[in-house]
Amino acid sequence: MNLEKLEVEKLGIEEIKSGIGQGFFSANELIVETYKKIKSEDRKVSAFISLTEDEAIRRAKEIDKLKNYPSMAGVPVVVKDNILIKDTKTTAASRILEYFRAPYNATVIKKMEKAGAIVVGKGNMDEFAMGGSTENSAFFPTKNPLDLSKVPGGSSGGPAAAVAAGMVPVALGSDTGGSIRQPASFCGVVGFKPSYGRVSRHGLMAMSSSLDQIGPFARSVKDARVVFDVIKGSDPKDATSLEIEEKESKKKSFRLGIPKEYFVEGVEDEVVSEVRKVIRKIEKKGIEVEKVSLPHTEYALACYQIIMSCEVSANMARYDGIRYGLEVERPEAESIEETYLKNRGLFGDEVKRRIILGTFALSSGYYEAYYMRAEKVRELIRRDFEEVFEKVDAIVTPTSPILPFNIGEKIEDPLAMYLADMLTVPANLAGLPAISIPCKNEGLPVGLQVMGERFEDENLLTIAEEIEKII
Amino acid sequence: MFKKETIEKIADLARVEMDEKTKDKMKDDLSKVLNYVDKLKEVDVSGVDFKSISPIFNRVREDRVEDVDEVTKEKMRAMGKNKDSYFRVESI
Repeated sequence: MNLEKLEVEKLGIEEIKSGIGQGFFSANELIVETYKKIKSEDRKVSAFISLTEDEAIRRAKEIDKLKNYPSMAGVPVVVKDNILIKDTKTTAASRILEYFRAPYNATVIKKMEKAGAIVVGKGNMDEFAMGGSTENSAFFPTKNPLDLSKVPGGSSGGPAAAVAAGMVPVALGSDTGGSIRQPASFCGVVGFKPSYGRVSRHGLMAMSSSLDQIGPFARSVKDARVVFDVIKGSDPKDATSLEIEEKESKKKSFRLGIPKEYFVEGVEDEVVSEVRKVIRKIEKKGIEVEKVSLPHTEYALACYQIIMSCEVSANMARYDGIRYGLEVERPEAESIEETYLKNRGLFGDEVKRRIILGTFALSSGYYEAYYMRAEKVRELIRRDFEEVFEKVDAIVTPTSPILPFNIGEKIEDPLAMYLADMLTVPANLAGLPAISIPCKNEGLPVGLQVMGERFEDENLLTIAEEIEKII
Repeated sequence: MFKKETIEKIADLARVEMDEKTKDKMKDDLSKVLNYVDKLKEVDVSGVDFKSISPIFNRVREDRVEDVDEVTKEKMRAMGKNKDSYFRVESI
């Protein structure tokens, strides 16, 4: 590749490192070019809620003064707008946080900055990460760069679209039920959700605390791994983050499981046929593939809907429009109750739906029937995976049951929108690492999902790299 | 299935204001969702003890006093009246 010609859309982390290291371009030049690209592309795509240009240029100049370049020196990054960056507008695409500036950095931001990465802006998303199309942003919808009439997926649609449009090589998103993998699938890029517990969520606005996880978008599995290596590790500020002893397996071969429950009614024919094509290619390479069964898969989405809504209703309670810098003119209110009602009336419809469903499912008389039962079903789903992982090293499925859909097509039908998560929620419920890899070069993209054993993220990435080569 | 009064009651408890149109649509949408999640009732969960749901990892640490961190210090600086690490407010 000719590094002397600065084509930002072609640069991966490795190329940026050698480009800067060998003096073909400076971090500052790269950032200036990146903003040119963003400003021309984003007029069509609307991936960004805000840009952090002054700070990015200041950081690039600092990087240029370094003698030794850290692993992500000068790499431009987009960060989903529910991850806190100190003194920077952080809205979660919600009216209730429209003027909020974060008072501290999320742990992942501290780690990325230490590694030399440069945040160029905050990515658009569904409000508080609730949605699968980025149409629930309170500000504007993001468009799919591969076809501007289609949604980019969600909820991390902005970061996914920015990577797909060649504006940045990598981005950070969050994944509660597929919010990294599904937009990666829709935009034809790589999206990785690490195991629950491998990456600190300190500074990520909580949506559903037993499911949320931060992870990277990239144009290759290799780059996703570099970002994961930077952000992983336990953090005293997130008690659910754990120090895991890494045991990268040395074995050369691996076995893949194909669960029949992921190729059922509701999964579009084109998705099934593309994924099957890849599986046949994998088999031809001599990799062992076997049929497996995860019998509780059909209940995963219902289970997820209950657990997620319950946790949402609790986590959203903190947004009362009094804390976190709401500076809009407050509507006249007669009492404190009315103030809360009016301020929280600023939430979008999807956030309200989930608060209502969660509050209902946790209420006295319904708690056992919904929340408690869902938690038990979750345990059965987890056990299904445990059994399958006795036999295989990873599980291969489609990421999304459907191709990217038209903007406006599903927004009036919440249940139809929720069904788009049916193949991604099981990994969140079981805490597993899972990655989406694009498996098609023409037309609308299809993503292939690879799920691994909990905490075996490094092994999963190795397997994903092998599969990526075969595709 | 949801009745409009139920939606209104929950919305009030959750302190979320909604107009009539939103309430009507919410009632229909959530009734569909509730109908869908009812399939959880088909699952035999008799073999699962709620108290033993796994995996749960405990993380323990030494209980020690740490310096007031930078964020707190900044907050203290931003507030005019303070004493040591406490805000000073009018007595009530």
